[in-house]
Amino acid sequence: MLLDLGVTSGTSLNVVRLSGLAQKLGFHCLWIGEDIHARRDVFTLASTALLQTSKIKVGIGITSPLIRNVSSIARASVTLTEIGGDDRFILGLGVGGLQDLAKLGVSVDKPDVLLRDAVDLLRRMWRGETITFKSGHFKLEHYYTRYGLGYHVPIFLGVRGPKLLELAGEIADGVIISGPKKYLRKAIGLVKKGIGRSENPKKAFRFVVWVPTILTERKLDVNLVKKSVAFVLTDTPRNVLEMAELNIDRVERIKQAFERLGLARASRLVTDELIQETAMHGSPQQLCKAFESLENLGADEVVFGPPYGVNKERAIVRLSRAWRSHV
Amino acid sequence: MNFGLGLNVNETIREIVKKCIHAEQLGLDYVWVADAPAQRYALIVASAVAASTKKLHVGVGLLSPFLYTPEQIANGFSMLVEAYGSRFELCIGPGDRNQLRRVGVSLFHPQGIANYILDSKREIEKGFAKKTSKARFGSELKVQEC
Repeated sequence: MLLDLGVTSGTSLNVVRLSGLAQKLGFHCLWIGEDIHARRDVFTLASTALLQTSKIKVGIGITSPLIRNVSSIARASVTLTEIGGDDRFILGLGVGGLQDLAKLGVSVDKPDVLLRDAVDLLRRMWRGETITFKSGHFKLEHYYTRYGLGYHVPIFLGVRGPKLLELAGEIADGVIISGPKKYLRKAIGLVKKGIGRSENPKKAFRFVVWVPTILTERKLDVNLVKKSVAFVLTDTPRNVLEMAELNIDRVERIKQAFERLGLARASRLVTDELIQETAMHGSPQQLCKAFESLENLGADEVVFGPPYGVNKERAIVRLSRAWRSHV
Repeated sequence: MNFGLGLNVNETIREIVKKCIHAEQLGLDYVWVADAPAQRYALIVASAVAASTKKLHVGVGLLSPFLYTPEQIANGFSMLVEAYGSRFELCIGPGDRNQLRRVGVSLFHPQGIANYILDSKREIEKGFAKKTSKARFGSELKVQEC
């Protein structure tokens, strides 16, 4: 199993330096999540990361066709593939975070239709087809591209609901999944079901697992773990909570506390059980063992993502070293 | 008077970057990267140009606020300035009506196209200043409307 590093476009870290550091430390891929209202554009950030490095893969995990024109996603992806060379760029596509979309007043009735159409249109654009297409989300009229064609851009879907997980297996090159541990097991099963239904059930497919991971050095660091868990749970849909067999009443109370009183107060309601199920935390060695358990579930790559630890860069360096010794 | 070069973004990135390095060696002041719905993504091309040059100013545009939100445009420049310093210029405008129609974008705004472009310009400048001041790096960005 491979170790990836995850950041978001809103990270406080110096991303120019971090890209080089990630490569130097031996991470397989740098995943960049899009915080919609953050101060950096996710495509420009990915281009900077690719230009600062030569080997590490760079993936966007994820952007949404609900907030960008699908033609813009297509040409940005090809331009990034051209810059990176050697299949270094991966496009992560999804519907988007519940809270972000709600803030933008965006809703989606049929996310499976949205993503199926988006993936199909992107691949047709990259093949150089002239496209006329109309649906509830997309409208293209005699559209064709003039930029470099012939590049293969892997598409990974970052999805959570059962229908979308199966869709990822069916149409994508990989999946980025995130959620509580019991959920992950079921989610991987659903994706495999989708792969079985795809045109090529033997296709190379990657399972990427991105779970909040915190390297704790002192007892006080547990507060960071609780905040992270509270934040993740507030953005978790009910069907995922049900699949994860979590105490839904407790999670609802956390969501309400988050909306009314803020993250710090909401985090006080996070129980040990919720922490165990939702996040990975501990010493570098304990985290390496936790990653190994994800490999047993079927993960090909695990993402060490925010909040990392109290001292972010130090945590990234320590964990990568521990992982190298571990494997 | 400054002197610059308009880039042909239908060429490969390698060709574009090669020309920009040559332009800088010849002492040109800036290059402009065009953007259109059927061409390479201008902000990424600008990033590749800036990464391979040291002083050359890079203009991007025309970017249409009908295709990108003002926040997306501000975020793009915030990242460029963070990585390569304050040497970027932006030109915004409605864009080509026919090309935008092909990607499902209509050049219509209830307040009128010109008003929307001017509002977007203000929003981009405000957003860029806010985002870059938070990050504590240089925050100069020239925005022109076309």
